[in-house]
Amino acid sequence: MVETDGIQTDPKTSATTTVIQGSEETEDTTTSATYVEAYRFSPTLDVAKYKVDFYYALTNSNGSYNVSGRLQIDDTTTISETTTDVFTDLYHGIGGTYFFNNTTPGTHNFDFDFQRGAGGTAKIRSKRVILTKVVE
Amino acid sequence: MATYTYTKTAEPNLEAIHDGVAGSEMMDKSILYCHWDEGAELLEVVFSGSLSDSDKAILDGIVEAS
Repeated sequence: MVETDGIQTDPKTSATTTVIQGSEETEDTTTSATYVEAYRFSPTLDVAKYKVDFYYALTNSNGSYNVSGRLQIDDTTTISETTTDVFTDLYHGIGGTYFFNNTTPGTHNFDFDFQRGAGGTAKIRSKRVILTKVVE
Repeated sequence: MATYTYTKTAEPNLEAIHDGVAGSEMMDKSILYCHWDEGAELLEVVFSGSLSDSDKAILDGIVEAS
């Protein structure tokens, strides 16, 4: 694959694919013990299979308490969720890959949500998602 | 729920807001959570119901100090 300005072209077949990315590097903090939204990325997608690469970093201002984070598509499909103990204010990075087989054209929401455990202040930053349309 | 928003460019101490509400003379101390968005420079303080004018004035002071 050769990538130019987010468009990838297969040199043998000339098939093209698209790379779409959304990110918010800034910090969100919450004292909510139920999930609240930290960042929403809403790309317009074709009917296709997409490779989803994601990353986010979590911590809690009080190392005695845990923190939870998740990444959801359209508020229904959870593609990443974790609850972790942390050292005070030291960030714990979470990343991974997911294949999203999109059957509905149009806008889809990728939400980074987070919450604290029984105390402290939950923090999330470096919310990143990269979608690569798979050429089949 | 009732959400009260404030402009905050620097990270506020969210737990201090909780403690401030609990220790204040507010009639309604039913704070649910605080949420600060650094990118938007926005602080949200969420209560289970709407505050009276006097409670809102006390909350404004607590947020200002945090």
